[in-house]
Amino acid sequence: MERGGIPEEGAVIVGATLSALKRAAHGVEIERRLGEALQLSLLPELPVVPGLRFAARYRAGTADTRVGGDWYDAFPLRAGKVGIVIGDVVGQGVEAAARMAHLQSALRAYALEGLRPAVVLERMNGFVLEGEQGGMVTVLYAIVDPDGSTVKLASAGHPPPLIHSPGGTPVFAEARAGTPLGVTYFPTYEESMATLDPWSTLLLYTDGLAEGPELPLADGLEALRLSVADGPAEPEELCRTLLGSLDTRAGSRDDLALLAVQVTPPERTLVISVPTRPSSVACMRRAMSRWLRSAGADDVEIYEILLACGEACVNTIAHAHPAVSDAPFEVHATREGDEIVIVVSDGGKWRRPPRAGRGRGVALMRELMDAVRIDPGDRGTRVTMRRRLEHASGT
Amino acid sequence: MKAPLAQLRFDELDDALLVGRVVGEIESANADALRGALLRHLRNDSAGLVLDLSSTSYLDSAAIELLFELARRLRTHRQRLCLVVPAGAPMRRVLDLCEIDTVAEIHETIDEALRTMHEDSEGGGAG
Repeated sequence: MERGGIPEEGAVIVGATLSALKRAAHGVEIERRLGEALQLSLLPELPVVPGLRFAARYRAGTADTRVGGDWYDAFPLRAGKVGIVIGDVVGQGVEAAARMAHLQSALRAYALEGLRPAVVLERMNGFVLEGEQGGMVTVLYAIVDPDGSTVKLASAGHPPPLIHSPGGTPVFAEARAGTPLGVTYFPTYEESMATLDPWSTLLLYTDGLAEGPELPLADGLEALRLSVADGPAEPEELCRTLLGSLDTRAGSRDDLALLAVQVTPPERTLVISVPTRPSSVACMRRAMSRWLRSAGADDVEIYEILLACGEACVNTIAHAHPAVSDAPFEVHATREGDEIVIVVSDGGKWRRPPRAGRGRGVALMRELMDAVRIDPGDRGTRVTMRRRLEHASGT
Repeated sequence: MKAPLAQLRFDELDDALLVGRVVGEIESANADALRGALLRHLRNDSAGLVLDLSSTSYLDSAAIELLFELARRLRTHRQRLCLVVPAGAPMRRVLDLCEIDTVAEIHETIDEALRTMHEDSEGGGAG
């Protein structure tokens, strides 16, 4: 029985459990704690995605109220996008937590199919009606695209997210609260789209964060909006602040979940180092496109700069010195004032391209960029290109 | 698991024309494969090729070279090349700079492209 170190610890746990058992009047407390433990174990780890920062909280209700099945979720989708979810399952304790687990998996499965938010909610409605037992569910599903800095969302009876842009006041995203899940076979879900400025924060929450025993939801939402206005933008700090101010604001005893997402533009300088291979050019474009967007370039500028940069890279790769072809080539991008400066360097030799084919590529580089300088050297070639942005903003 | 740069789709069925839609990016790495796929599907008795670029997010100089080459190949068979490029597409200026309109017709929608191709061939009979 006795193994070094463990018995004492074990004894403490048993003791604590026994005394808790004694305290629990009708086992309600145990049920509540089990529900809470289950709930917490089911909530996901937040993804790590370039261009976005996440934080989330779940808090179980107080002893005299239900422990509901509130949940949040966040998962990467294709092309750098992220699906985010907030939901509220009516129910109690372990049962509600288990139900929430089903809903969470189902939603993920539909979302990973690449379905649009409104379609995901339609499928979820079918899932609840066909396969489930229990009360109403509200849920909001959104797709965040850090590349385009947009969020596309649809709501099934769930209150709208708050968007807090730097320097502005927080606003509720326009999201028509469609039919809650499991109510009718003919629900209506509408999709809406919002823009997310660099450094803005998107807050998803359940009504527990805004509603209180004495506080109607409408007033609670306004109080929440004001708390966000005064609060920090950094997701982790925002979550802490909102939970801290909860008692003075709403005095909620319901359970609650919240998920905050902040758009974090990449650094002023982008450095890409990739193997000297044709497939590297597409990798370069992904990273460069996101960086250019955050630097304030519009669609046409992004395409034209990507093209100039791509041509420089292709030339580099096609003519890299065989002996160093496995060495990486590097692309640096910097914003200087309202100008984008791109340097492509490699360990190869720049070749004056033949008339046809690549000749057009170099001509395009010169046409699309304000200045192009090619510095051939024995150790490698360096191409420097500049382009002024038309409507340069921010950063 | 790498996603392909582009997919070539033949959604639009048309007896007289080959209508291809390129979803994704065309660049030096996949231009040859795309040329092969298009030429495999193109029949000699077809009136021509409509290449829908409205879902194409990137074209580089190799892709533009491919368009010129396709136009040349088609012309030797008295076939026409028609590109669909929506108004305001980022690639528009680059296509103009390369004067692609000297070898291909450019339309803003697929419907417009198909209408013109059919009208012309039914009308005076393409020269």
